[in-house]
Amino acid sequence: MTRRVLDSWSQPLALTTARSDDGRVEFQLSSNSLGLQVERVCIDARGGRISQLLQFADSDSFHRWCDASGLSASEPHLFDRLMRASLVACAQS
Amino acid sequence: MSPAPNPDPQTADLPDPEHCLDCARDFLGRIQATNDLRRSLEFLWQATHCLGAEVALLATYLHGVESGDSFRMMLACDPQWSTEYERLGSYVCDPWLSYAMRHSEPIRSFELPMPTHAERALTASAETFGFRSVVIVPAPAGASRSRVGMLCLGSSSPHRFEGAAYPTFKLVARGVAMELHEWWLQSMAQALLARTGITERERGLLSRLAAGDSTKAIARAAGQSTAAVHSQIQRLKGKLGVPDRRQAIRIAADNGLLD
Repeated sequence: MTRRVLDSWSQPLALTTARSDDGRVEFQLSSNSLGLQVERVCIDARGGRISQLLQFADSDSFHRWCDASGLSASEPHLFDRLMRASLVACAQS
Repeated sequence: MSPAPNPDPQTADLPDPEHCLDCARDFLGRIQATNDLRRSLEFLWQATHCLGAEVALLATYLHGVESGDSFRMMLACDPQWSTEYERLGSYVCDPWLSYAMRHSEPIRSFELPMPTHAERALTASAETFGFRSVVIVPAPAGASRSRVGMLCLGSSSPHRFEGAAYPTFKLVARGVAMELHEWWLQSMAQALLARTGITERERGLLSRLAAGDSTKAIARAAGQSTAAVHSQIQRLKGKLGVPDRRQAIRIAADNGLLD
């Protein structure tokens, strides 16, 4: 399998971006008129690039989503970065 | 602003065709006034309610290119579904996307064949997140054979997309899907241009590279030296922050710059 990572454009990473250690998953957070907007980008096992753009009414609903995803167990470092990024993004609203 | 209240799934029919047209006209005016990607989800929610649906997803899929597949999706529904969607196989097992890749005519989910177990599992999961009845509206991207878009509109009512108003609804939904998908691609391209400072000339260079032209061939066609074109490519890679031309092409394609 060709090894692909998120060679994305934000170097250095913005405070509202959280990326996994292996560079294969990245979250970009921003506030908008509806609440918190989150884009989750990842490289899947087939080498495809997948992006999901999601809307959360507030940080609580975002944290519930994170809990349900199991990220804190599977990717604890990324989870910590994501929590910090969400604080920054929510503070910008 | 919060999303407008959903129509009552048990009682609401599709909107009156006149209202639907007026709403769509207003909606198209709004998206034409901005390229601000931060408003993407706001626009998707507006389109959803304008068309009398409760939930929706908009996707754009780039496939069959050397730089790899790219699937982007935005959701106007409970975000928990995104986790389920991934768990159940993502776009590879998505029967709605599969349909949109081969057709341009909108279709209701009950009209779709569901041949595989994986596809059935994905649509069953969607049902629990408000996509009980669904209209899949393909949004072909111009002349591009590599990219397809789709708008999926859903309701928890099993018969929402039926009745006398459906033909007009289908017509309006088709227009909204095409316009919204096109707006998304253009906004992504504009955002990338603004972020990187790539010029129109460099965009043309990217297109040549994506077409497989060598440095020598590009130089010959432009009446420039190979060294000059090589230097332009180096500058382009620097702007995109990537080490090679393959990744430069991937970012450009992914963001709608080559469509």
